[in-house]
Amino acid sequence: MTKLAVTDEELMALADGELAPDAAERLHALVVADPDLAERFAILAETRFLLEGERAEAPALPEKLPPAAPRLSVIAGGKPAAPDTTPARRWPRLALPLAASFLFVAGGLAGYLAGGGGRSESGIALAGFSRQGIDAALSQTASGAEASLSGGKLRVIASHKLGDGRLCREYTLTRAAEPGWDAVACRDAGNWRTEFLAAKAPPAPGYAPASGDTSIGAFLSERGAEPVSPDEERKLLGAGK
Amino acid sequence: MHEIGTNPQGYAAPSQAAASAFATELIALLPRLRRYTMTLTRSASESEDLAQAACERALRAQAQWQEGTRLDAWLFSIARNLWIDQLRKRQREGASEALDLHPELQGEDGRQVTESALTAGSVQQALEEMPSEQRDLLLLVCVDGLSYRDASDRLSIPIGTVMSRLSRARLGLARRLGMEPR
Repeated sequence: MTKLAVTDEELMALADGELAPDAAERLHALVVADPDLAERFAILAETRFLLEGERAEAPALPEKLPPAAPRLSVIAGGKPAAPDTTPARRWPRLALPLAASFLFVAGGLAGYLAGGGGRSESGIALAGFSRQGIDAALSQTASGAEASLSGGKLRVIASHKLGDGRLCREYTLTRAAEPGWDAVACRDAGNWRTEFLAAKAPPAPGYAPASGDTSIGAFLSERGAEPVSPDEERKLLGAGK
Repeated sequence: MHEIGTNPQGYAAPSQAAASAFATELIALLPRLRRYTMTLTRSASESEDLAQAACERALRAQAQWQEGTRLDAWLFSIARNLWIDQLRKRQREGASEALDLHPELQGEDGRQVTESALTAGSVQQALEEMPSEQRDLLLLVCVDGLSYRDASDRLSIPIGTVMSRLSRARLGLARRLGMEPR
């Protein structure tokens, strides 16, 4: 079997929970099949956990930087034996545009990636759902209502307006037998761009996330999002831009 | 450095007070260890097995841990070595079942396995030796928990630069700490 080229950046993104779940599963399958790759992955992961232990002694951040945003949600990690004061990590975070090596070979994965760093939205699917169906549902569905997609459902939780005037829609994607996804899409020049996507934690006993939607809340808060009234939502959706 | 796989009976047994303090510190590290093993295995059951195996090995090899070195680094390297050894074993034997993390194992093929022994200030020192742009990014992402996207926004650099710089920084840190692949 030909070994696939996997970059350190990809291994690190896997370790940091920055890959979309499907991409993460595919890459992890490669990792566990190749102990040398697994060791690179483990070392990259371990540096992060070592640095977490440095928290109290770490050098101060550069003064020009504003205070760091709080971490957003916790990695499923079992019942702690003692209180863990480590701020939670998002699991997973946004999917990222990665080097072509692994993702290209994995085939079809590029279209699965969400957001593309907020710059491009060329994919044809998101979390396995047709992006066209999602876009139509986001443009037509009122907050609180549900739209049927091929293979699942999309429920719009709320609409928000960003500081720059863009309309964003907070929604969930669900499919039978899967925990589902929390997502935020914002409309930019008439097109919906996925700006946040996170898998809901599976309901495994003892492995519950610390908070469900805190990560979306923090994400929206960081971007100065304001809630939109039903009337305003109707007008904004009708304006279509 | 600690060597696992040598006969633990060749070491003096720790005092009761030292053993108790060791166990207390070990318990305090469990949440972080579990998150680390979950990151490695992406499986709740394998993560738990790996964390438990690492703890069992650490307790059995307690006399080999050098006081004044970081227990977390030692524990993580035990977990990493256990995991890698079992992946190698699984690959060699073509086994498809769950990882066998029997704590009696002494490393692949019985060879000695070296664990990390970092002094309390070694990570700090390694950070200070790094280029500031790498150190700042490491702290933002690994200590303060910013996502790559947020770090990109914060530092006004492309996300691709965040990833390449951060991976270089992580590997550089690992090298400075002696965490070379076996």
